[in-house]
Amino acid sequence: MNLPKYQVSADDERFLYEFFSEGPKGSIKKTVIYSEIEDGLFNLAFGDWNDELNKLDDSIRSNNGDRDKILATVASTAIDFTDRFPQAEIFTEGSTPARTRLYQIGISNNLVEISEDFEIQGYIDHEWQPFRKGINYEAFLIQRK
Amino acid sequence: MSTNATKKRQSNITLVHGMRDYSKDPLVIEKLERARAFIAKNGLPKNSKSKKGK
Repeated sequence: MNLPKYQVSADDERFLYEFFSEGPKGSIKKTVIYSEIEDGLFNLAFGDWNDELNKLDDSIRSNNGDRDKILATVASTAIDFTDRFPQAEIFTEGSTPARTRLYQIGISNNLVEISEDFEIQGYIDHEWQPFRKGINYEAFLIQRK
Repeated sequence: MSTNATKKRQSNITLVHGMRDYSKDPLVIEKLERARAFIAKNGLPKNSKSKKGK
């Protein structure tokens, strides 16, 4: 993927990633964490680091004007993670329907590039199906091609 | 894909030592539990390599 993206720091094991969103609202630390649900299946958690509360927060809309760059950066962590664990499957859903829809829009806007590397399925109407634009999925499962 | 291509593509990733361990953060644990509940209820795609694939 050749979309603009941020520089990312990753831990040695490649389960933790962090980067800084830069924009009108300042520098905001973003984190991507891969947690094992079961063998080979991982949950992707994404959130902002809140220095005051000393914890992660995914309820804030930072509106830093760089949504696509952030999503491309998150996708780059998925590529790096699946370089390290090629058989891994990644599950993700937003904390709210609005946030899940944001993920859907992000995937849709970058579908050509993302599809080069990943097979994406979405869950809707009680079934998993190949990702298509314009559908409000409840969750996503991402596998490396 | 060649190793060189992989390195070039991933040039925005830098490995660091001593990164803060976010894995025990309440948000991460909450999302993990939500994911487990979702998958327990709804399963995974048929072609999933996971045992929970339908």
